[in-house]
Amino acid sequence: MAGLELQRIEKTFGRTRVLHDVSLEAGDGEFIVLLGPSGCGKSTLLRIIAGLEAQTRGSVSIGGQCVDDVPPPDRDIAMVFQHYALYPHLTVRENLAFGLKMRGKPQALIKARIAETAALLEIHDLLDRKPRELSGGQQQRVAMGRAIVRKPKLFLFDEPLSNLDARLRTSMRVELKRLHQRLGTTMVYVTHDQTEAMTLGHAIVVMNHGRIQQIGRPEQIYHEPANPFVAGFIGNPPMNVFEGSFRLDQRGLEFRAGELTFRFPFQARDLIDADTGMATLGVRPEDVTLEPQGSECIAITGTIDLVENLGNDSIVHLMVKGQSLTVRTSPGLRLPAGESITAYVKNFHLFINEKRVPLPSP
Amino acid sequence: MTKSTQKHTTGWLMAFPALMFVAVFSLYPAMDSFLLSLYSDFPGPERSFAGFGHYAELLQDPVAHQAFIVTLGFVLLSTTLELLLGTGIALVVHERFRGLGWVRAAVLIPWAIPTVVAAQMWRFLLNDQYGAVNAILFGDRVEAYVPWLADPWMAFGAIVLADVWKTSSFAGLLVLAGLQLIPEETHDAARVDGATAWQRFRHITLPMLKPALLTALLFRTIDAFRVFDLVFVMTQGGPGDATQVIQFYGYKTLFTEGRVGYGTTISVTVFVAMAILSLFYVRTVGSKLLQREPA
Repeated sequence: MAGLELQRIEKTFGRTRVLHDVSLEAGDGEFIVLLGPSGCGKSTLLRIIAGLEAQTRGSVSIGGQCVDDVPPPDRDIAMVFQHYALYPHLTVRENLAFGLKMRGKPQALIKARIAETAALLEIHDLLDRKPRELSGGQQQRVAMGRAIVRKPKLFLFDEPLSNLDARLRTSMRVELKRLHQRLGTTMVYVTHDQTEAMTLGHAIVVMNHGRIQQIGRPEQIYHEPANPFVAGFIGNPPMNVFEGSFRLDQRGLEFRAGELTFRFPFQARDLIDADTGMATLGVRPEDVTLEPQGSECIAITGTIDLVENLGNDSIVHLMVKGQSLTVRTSPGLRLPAGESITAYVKNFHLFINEKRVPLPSP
Repeated sequence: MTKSTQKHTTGWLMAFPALMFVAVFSLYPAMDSFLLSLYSDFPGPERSFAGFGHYAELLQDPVAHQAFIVTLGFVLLSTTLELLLGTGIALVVHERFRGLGWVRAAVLIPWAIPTVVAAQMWRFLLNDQYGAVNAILFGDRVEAYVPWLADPWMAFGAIVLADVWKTSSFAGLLVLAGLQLIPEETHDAARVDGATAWQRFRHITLPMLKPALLTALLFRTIDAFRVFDLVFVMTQGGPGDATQVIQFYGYKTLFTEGRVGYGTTISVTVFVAMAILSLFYVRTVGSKLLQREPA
């Protein structure tokens, strides 16, 4: 049982508090992704798990054991750094051997482990080269090899793919996932890239301003964002967000954001009772369609402002009563700018007081 | 005129001021010194061509040999100590702590003091009758006072000490620049990899510091070989010839004894030795510096 447990972690640097009451748990073999914008505290949290930084309050347990007083070398963890942090004066082989050597492992075991790791990552040809003779992708592989070779209880990744070009990042992402499936070791992965988070994680921990915003499975984070921040951070293009208020009358429920109104064909008394005034209504671009739909969708009319063709689909920017609405649609449609068009919204997200409120489907 | 020769001419014209500067201030004095060293000692209408006679004399001169050995000893000892101490200083100053700015400034003060002033200060401190060193060590027991600069070994030690005191911080500055090039992540990686503080220093910091250490070594050896002012002020080469370094011997021969030919011969020899040493450094160390690993 080599999971990870963080209990009420707090961290302050001088007078600035960078982590507030962070608690989370990862089961043995789970892949946890810490996701958030830069400066949200995710890297600091990772460094606290590694022991490179001491938490101000709270406690870290690895494999059921509290490691608060255990220095990094004795935590049995491995870490892959953003800039790889390979030892430039050592060959790839020596880089891989370093950790084992420092721990006084026998030569035969070191040799066997290096061979095993090199085979796993297909880096045999690089073993006698120095890091400066490697490409970015190769350095990344060696950095991962240096982590794998020690067979630690826990892997920590600090934005390991952020220095690679887009194509390489995609292929390394797949490889990383495969690697996790093969090793089955608990991994904690820090990134600001939602695609990496969605594709790699069993669970995603969304962070902002040093606080956990939501913990959940990727599909949960996407479909049921806990608050407007998560809703806006996950999804590309980002969710359309409207600030406004609700009103209830005989015909049903009406949401008003400036000139723009959405009329819901249901009576939601509980909802309106909970309402204290202002609310946030979110609409994912992929939940809007420009093809005529039945009455289960809410129709709104606007003018086409701009169309971005992405090949497999198009992003259409509409202006609806002074508000912009982004729509993801199939690229076949002819959409001249300035023309009036009706959009059909299939699904809404509602947030009141910064908290998600489930809406009955329209 | 073809286009390429025109370009060529423009190039030479552009380089002309710099070339003139080098020619007037470096090349001409060096060549003239060399010519002087080929003539008899006393300049004037009656001077005669001596060929390499002075160089032959230098090879046979026991005082010159002694001076060379003293210089070599000085270079080895002071450079080693300065690099060790400099690395120590750099490691301390590289850490973050309260009052760091003051420590950095304090460390650099000796380097900022002119050598002649520093030498005068050390001579004063080490004076056998009113020097602070004796006063601190022995207080009122005047009979125990040590004539530091009158003993051959202690005088030599005093010069090394003064040089180490004065220039360690310079070596430290160069090493510090090297330390700051090592990314924090690399240290973190080594910590996670299980290296102890000593192992990290031995296997990560020190090897990655090599270019900086070699640069410091280069500067310090060449500088130490040219030592003159410390000896001039503190000991005048004495007692006996105990602290007579080669440059001082050359100076004495030329200006005190007035032997222009032989004096310049010594200078030219030191110059050539330095040129060879620099060339050797540039070839070996320099090429390594140029292909240093990216930080």
